[in-house]
Amino acid sequence: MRICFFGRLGDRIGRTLDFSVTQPCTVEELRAVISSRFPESRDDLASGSTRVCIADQVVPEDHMVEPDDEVDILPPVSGG
Amino acid sequence: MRIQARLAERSLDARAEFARFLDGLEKEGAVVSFTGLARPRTPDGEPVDALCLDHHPRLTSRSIEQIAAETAERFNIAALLVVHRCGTVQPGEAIVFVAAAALHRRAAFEAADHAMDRLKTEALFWKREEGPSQSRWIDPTQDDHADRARWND
Repeated sequence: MRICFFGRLGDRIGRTLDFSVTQPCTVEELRAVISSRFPESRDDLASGSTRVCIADQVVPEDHMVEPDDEVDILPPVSGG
Repeated sequence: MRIQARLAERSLDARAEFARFLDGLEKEGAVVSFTGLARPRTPDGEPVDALCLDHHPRLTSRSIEQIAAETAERFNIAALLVVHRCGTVQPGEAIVFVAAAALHRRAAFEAADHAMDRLKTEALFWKREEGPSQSRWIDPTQDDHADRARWND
């Protein structure tokens, strides 16, 4: 799957990450897996204010992520 | 009702936008506009070299379109324009332009004010101030949130 990070997360992790998981996982599990790889971003990744979008829709924590999904991770906005 | 909300990737000419907005009006008696400029210093007085606005390729446009549509629905206006920069903005350059037109001034003032308060807290941007010695990601301020809360029914 391809994961895009925005804002300060994009700064720390990079804009895009090609990511593989060994088995299907929920959004909640995906956050934890990414956090284990990027522990300095753990707090932002775990935050309820950081939204996860797939196909431009915010998805809940129990949503199953497919291996070929494009996932966008949006930290809290600055506003305009 | 004429509603337009769009991103400007490279530059925002507020004077030209206002002139075009006026040209499109017919019988309205009130036009209110706001232009937000990139400040040259941080709140602590440190110099700012540039303001970088990160955005999502689709969701950011959608967020400002939604704010414009809901603003137009709420106030008795004839036209609303929102133009917002993304990318790198230099100090003194325009970041955002909002214009509202109505038959009478109260609706125009309120629509422009409301749109800006929502843009400041809800628009899907991530802003970073770049200075000579450091960069800083920006969050909405307490004042921004308080201004936004004024509109809650």
